[in-house]
Amino acid sequence: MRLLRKPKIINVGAKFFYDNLKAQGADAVHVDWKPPAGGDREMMKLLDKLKGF
Amino acid sequence: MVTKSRVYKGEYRDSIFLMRISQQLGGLAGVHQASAIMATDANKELLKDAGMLTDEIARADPNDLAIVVDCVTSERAEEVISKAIDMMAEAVRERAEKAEAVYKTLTSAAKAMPDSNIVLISVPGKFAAREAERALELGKHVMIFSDGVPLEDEVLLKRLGREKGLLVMGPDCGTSIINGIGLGFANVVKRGPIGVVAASGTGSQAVSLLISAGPGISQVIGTGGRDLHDEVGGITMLMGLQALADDPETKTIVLVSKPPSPTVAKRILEAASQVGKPMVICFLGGDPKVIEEAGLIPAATLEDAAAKAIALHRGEKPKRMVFSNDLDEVKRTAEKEYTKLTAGQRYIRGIYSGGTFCSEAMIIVRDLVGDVHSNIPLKPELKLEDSNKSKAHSFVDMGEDEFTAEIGKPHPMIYHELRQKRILAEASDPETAVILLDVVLGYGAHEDPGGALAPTILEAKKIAERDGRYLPVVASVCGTPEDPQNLISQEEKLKSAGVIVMPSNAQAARMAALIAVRGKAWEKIMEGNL
Amino acid sequence: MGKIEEANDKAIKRIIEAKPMGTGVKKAKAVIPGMTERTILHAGPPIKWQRMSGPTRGAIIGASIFEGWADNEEGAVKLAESGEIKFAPCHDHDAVGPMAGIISPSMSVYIVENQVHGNKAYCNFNEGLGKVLRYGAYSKEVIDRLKWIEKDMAPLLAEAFKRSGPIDLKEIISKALHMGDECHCRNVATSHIFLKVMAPYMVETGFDKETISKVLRFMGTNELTFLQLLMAACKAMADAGHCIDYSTLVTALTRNGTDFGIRVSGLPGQWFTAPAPTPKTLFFPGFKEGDEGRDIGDSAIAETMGLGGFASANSPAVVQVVGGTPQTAADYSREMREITVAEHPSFTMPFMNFRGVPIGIDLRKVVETGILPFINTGVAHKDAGVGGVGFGLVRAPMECFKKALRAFAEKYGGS
Repeated sequence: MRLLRKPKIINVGAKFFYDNLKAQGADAVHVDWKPPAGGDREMMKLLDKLKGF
Repeated sequence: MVTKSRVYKGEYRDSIFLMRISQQLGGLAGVHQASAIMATDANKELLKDAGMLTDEIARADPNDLAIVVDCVTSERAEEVISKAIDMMAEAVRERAEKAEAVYKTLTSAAKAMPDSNIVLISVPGKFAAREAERALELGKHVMIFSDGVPLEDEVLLKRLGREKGLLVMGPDCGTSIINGIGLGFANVVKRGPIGVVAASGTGSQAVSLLISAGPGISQVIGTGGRDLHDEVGGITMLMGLQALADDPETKTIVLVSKPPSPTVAKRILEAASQVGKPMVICFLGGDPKVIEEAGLIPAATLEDAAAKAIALHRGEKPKRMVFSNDLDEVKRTAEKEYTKLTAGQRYIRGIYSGGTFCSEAMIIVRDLVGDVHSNIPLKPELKLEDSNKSKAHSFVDMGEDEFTAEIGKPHPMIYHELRQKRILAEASDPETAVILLDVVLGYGAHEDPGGALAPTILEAKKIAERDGRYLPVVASVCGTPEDPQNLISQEEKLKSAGVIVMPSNAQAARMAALIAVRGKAWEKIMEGNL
Repeated sequence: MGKIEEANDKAIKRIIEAKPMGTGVKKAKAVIPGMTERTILHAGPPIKWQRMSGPTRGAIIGASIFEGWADNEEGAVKLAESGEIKFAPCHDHDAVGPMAGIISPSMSVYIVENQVHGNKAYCNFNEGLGKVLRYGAYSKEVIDRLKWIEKDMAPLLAEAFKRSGPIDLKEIISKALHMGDECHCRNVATSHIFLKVMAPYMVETGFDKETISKVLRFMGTNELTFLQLLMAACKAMADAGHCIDYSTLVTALTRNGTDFGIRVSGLPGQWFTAPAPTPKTLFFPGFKEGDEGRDIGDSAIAETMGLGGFASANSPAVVQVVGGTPQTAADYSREMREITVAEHPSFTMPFMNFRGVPIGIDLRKVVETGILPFINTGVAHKDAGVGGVGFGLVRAPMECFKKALRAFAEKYGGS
């Protein structure tokens, strides 16, 4: 496995990790993540079930 | 003139673009000649004529991108090459939209940034595995900062990653530094030839900052706290090891973790001995014999690991580090503190934000003062009944779930209220002989931990004073002068509150022990191997 | 590739390839499939008389009088309650209607044909603004206007189409997007282009000058002239991607003033409904909060095809409605990209560097991200016959998509 040349990062979750990355001059984008299906477990199960199709 | 080159296998840029880059590089100070080209035969001929065909480029093939510079000094050449890489990245970056856009899903972010290569995940634990799986399906390496991910999910993810040749750093991985970029909680380190793979965030931070003050760090790969458990089998540590073995920038390697089970240890040590680069293995608190038998070099503490790696790299004989300051001065400092203790003050109270620091300190201290109770004890019978109440010598890891998850507060490296409360509680206890702390700097940590703790420490000392006691406080600051919080100023803030600031957690633990036993452990410290 | 991905690819390809052409004008009972002598089609998902909203009832009363089935409101209501009238969604009969969306047998409709796949769509004529049937008005003025449309306007346009041949509606939409329309609330450019295209043929019909002039003036002063054609064009495109097994694409977003309903490609014949929300409204002078009715009309077929709210970024004029700055409007378009599968190569937005509108709502993405389709809409007064009270923003309700996901998993889950 070859180590990554220049990290290009997708940050999913806490924005402050993204801010830290930008402060270091890193190439990064931020995902303003929210729980899937608003946290609705039934919906999450259904979505995951459909993945297998 | 010094000629340096860099070859990027399989990278492509069109020739007009590369010509513009070459032109810009040529205009920089200290540059005699510079060229960015695809390594076609024709281009190689041109480079040869110009006296810039390095062996590396000669070996490259037409699908590889090569940068070669002819500069006044070696350092300048390195700098210019870095600049070339930045120029290429900048030009490729989309303007307006991507720069400001925020994405709602990993999928849409990946679509907008197709050349992304790492996904850093810090969502609540129960959703982390799902995001990680998606990231792996998208062909990206993953770092999972989140904890609270089920073990089965960790196993599935790491197996999937292994199948795809992708690293899964975590879950519960607080730190990685990939090609100079700190992910999660990370210090600003100097780049250099020593690589670290660690199953502990603060462990890797401690080791990397010490190495940063020396030859420098190539990569820090975090594996997550459970990587070496039997069920996981060290998948990420093995892959990380392989990555460092393959990385031309890494010349010496350090592995850090708690001692794994014999099965996993065997697998790790076997792989380690095949690497062919000098290696130091720190199984914190483990038996060094196992490591020696594998023909590798063991380290008892984090500080020891760093020192030995640096020595190895320099071709020197690794020595054990006890105290970095003048020994007489250390003795005097301890004496100044313990002579003011009352007879009833007997115990060390460690109030930690980093679990690995807490463990390291317990390992060192138990040899010198006896058993230490904890919420993360070295032996199950030493587990504190109530983590909020110390018993005899007690070291508490306040980063543990019971303190963070329950109350829903952020980690103590960011948020100090719980630690402050505990410090005051221990100060009120007449049996407390010394308080031991870790203070962690770097990206992701509190912006001024020293400033947050100093007033509390002053108050703690006052509480003791009012009751007719003296309260010593010993601490170490894990950070570098380049960290946003600035190591020097943090140490100053603590010192002005009367804290004994030691250069490392290991040394702070020794100092605390020395104070608690009124200096009687000196020989043991000097002659021991912890 | 998974079955769902494959099905969605197929569906979106058909939608994007579809070429809706305006081909003529005929009376509803002559061309709309399933239209009987006593059918009244309405906007939105299926609904019984008892639950219908004020504007919908008002429009039905007006249509009944227009058809000659009743002389007054009382008679019309009795008829409706009796069960003698067959009520059905426009959508289930290849048709679309804005606001109350009422189409009755004797009303003339435009015929839109998707030349690539052959499916058709129908829509009625726009009456203009103010007290009109689609807002539930049924005064003599309204009935007279409907009669005039049948007597003069429809025959003139029918004849004009015979001369012009099929009119490329897709091209009109593409051009209008480059002229500041988002094609739902703002159809100014589309209407102008259509008028410009049809005018010469209208003159060539040889109808009398007065009729031609009256119709031209009517269409020229009505900035919503093209709205129904726009809707029918979108319906024809959406239907091209409907009925594809395993596809999770949403082929209709629609409301009737009481319920909001969606159709899903892989679940033909099923409606998934939830209470229609109340739009956040920017009021015309004289109206205020509390006047607005619940979301109504088939016009959200525009958003279903990436126009309207999905193309918010493109319409500086509509931007005020969506909250002020071009940046906010662009954010809405960007947000819709999160829940759609493609960008339409023919419908591009100059204000977003000519990127294609986000098209093909994937119901899985809506549920997963919690991002709901965003609609710019006209807002009716809650009472029948008052008229429009302003423009507003509304989001499709999540419950529709959750219901659809459950149904989808049930239908295809066995495999």
